[in-house]
Amino acid sequence: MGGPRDVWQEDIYSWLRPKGRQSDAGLEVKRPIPVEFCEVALSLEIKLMELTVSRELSMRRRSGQSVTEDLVVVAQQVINGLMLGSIYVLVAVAFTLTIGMLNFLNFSIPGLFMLGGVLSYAFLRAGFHWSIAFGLALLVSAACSLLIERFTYRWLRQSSHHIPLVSSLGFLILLENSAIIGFGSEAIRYPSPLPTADLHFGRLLVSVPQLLGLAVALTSVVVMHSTLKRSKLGRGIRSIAENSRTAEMLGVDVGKTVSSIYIIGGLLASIGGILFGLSYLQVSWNMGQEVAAKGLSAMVLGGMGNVWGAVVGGFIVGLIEVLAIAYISSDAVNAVVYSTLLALLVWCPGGLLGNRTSMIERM
Amino acid sequence: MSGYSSQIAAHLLISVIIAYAAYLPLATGQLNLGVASYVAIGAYASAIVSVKFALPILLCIISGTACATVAAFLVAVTIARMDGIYFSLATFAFAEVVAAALINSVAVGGASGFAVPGYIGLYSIAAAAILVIVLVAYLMSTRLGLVFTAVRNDERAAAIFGVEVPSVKMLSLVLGGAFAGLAGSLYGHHYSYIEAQNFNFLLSSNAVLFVLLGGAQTWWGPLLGASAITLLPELMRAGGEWRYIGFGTTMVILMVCRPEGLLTRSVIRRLRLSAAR
Repeated sequence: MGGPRDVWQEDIYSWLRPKGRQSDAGLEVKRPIPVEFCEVALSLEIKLMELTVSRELSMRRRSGQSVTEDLVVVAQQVINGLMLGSIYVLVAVAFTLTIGMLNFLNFSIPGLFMLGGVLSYAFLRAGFHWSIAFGLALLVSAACSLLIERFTYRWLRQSSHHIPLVSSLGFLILLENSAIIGFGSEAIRYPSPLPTADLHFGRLLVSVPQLLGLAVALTSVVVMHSTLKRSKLGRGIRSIAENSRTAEMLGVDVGKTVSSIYIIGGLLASIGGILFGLSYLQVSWNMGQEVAAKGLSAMVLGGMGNVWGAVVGGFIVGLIEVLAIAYISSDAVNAVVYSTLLALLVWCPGGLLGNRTSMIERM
Repeated sequence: MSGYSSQIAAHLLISVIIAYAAYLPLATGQLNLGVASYVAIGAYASAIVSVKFALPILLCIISGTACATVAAFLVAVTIARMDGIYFSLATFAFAEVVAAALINSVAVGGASGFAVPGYIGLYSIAAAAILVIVLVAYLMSTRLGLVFTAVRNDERAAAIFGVEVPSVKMLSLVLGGAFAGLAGSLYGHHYSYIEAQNFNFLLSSNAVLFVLLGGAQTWWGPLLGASAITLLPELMRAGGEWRYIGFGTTMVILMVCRPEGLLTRSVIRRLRLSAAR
């Protein structure tokens, strides 16, 4: 019999869902404070970052290091932040899709993220070529996402309560514990098919997997966005975001469209999981948890329901995290990231790039 | 009682109090994802008071509860205008900030935890849990309980009938925070040791699950949910790792069959009718 801690920690992990369908005019965010305040808050935060960086610089200067040396250090941190941010971007976009289109926060995304990483590991270990292994992992994740849709959104439509919250949480527990049964509860070394070489740009160091991760993350978001912008499916999705009942009356196949949103979200999350494995060379059953919490913060930071907001937010969270590690301490990361999130929610809940309605216009 | 069963009983009783801490905000339709933060504040405040001032345990617990109540009030005032998902995210962020602050503060032991003097036994916890249950049951039978339900079902309609929706919502959040603080101080004094890592998101999400699986319509729901979720994994211990697969599947199936939770108002009405017959 373990302590009380085991009993609490053993099981569940979750995200959240809005308390019901909000009015069709969009998420009802009361905004008593004008946009300028957001800018002030953000610039304050940037000032704060600059302050810590400049303090560090002056300390180094006193200790005899040259200024160019310092600039290299800062630039290196920024690069690391962007690399880390690219994984948050994928998760944040996956979250923002279901929030923006269906007004439902999908708790199973950390599970799908983990599935991408762990399954691609399994297929690589089974001796498949990396393209086949990644393809299979993405396929299974998409299938899982479809299954989750059957038991979450399908039921959400009939009732306006917390069912999808609990059932997507149930799926998260299912996925994570299946991973524990299949692969054990320890972190596993990821057999990366990529060279682990580093590229040197002047004195800056960029590792190949991370650079690839950044490129893949941005490409998948851009491809997704531009397809949705042009295709019939994209129009259907936007019409559902506007008003699903009207969309149905006008001949949009709501069931099919919602399924495709889930597939896209699942694909993005599991691409993130594969990239995580490639960059950090390890996967585990709970790899999605921390990343999903940061992805969620990134989504709010950029503006809930806004794809480009999620992209910007992901990079900012990555930067904040890396700078906090470099200039404060690695213990302070969560304090810094989540107090930023809290401050933003209090002063500027719309985030940096507008709200849900603006996304519908932009997509 | 054997050591094992008294451990389970203490865990169950504290879980029940935490379930009611999540239940009150949910009774007005607010999904509080930061219950763990108030539990942590209660536990740490009570522990610090008992170390610094060596007060009797009852006073320590009262001050722990009071600190959590004040914290909940401050949070409620700050995020009063938030709605739905923004509210949930803000409570989530607050809980993460509290956890991160506790882990980083050396004065309370940081990540290595904090030893709590003063031990309370199972019977005191049972008394506190019964007190909480009776209090909630009484509260929900009064006009205030009716007002909570009205706000949950339709805020606008409740406002039209003269309910001051913002203050009702704040009240429910603060009361929930008080219960969470009570649970935290009991937890610290019973196990004699607290760690900031224990008051994490898993605890908050468990608290919400207790209520949503049990049913948020009546005050019976959280009691049933907390008992089921705490006891079932223990009973299924033979299943090893597979029991959580079973647990996840049960959750999904339960939500398909009983979307409003196990105990709903209609079930209770039917039970009453059959009892009367």
